[in-house]
Amino acid sequence: MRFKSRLKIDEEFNLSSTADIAFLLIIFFMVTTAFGTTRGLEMTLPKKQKTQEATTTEAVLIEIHRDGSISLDGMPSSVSDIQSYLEPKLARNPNKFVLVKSDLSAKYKVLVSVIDELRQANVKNISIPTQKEIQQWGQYAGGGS
Amino acid sequence: MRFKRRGSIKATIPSSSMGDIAFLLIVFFIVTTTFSVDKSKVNLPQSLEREATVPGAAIIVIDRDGNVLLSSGDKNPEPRGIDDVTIFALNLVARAPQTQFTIKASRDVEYRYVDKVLEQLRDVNARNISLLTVQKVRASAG
Repeated sequence: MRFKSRLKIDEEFNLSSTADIAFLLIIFFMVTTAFGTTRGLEMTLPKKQKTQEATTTEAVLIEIHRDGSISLDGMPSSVSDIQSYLEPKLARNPNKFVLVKSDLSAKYKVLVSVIDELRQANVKNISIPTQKEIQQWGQYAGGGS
Repeated sequence: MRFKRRGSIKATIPSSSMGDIAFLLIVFFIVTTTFSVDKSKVNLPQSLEREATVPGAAIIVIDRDGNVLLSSGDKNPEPRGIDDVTIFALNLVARAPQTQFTIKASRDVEYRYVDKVLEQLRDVNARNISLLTVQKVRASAG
């Protein structure tokens, strides 16, 4: 006996909504993604036990005053003068120490702009002594005299 | 004269590869997405020289009034006292000596607060530090 052949059914997955779901996910990721990585000035602090001494005779001293003005080795200057001041000194000694001493009441942005200028001038040895260290130096200097 | 009718042409846009492209884009976004942990709003100082900070670094936020917020990098920074930086940093450095610390200080904060934080970080031998900045636009020569 011969059976009547049934109607052929197409075997396939319905993928028409896959793209819709995928694009919904894309929109989610586009909205939540933060591509901008945070950036800043990298610093490596010296080890507490092995503090490298930068003698004041060798180092360039940059002082930041309370009002945001700066002085280079005691001479009143501006932040934009730093690179031109350091250029000949670094040419003679690329490992020149630069000591940055900021007044506690000075704004932090001035310190950052000074460090930024030093980085642009390719200063390798930047020393930013903390208030505690400055006091200790003062004691040593006072005791020595 | 009667023209012969042509067979009708089905006007369809093939969309079978749409899903593939979409999923490729999804994979790209999954790989590149970083959900920002730190949501503190601070007016950062500007600098021309900037290097990318290490993702997941511990964050020390100092707002313009000198208030300190701390985070080990996995959650939003929480308000703490400025003297708590020592114990906070010590815990992290004890576990991983090369822990990176990101200082996110307001451009208008007095240096005394940053000094105090740096002092405490030095006390616990934290060595890798970055000062978060925003890009400074170079002034044109003209």
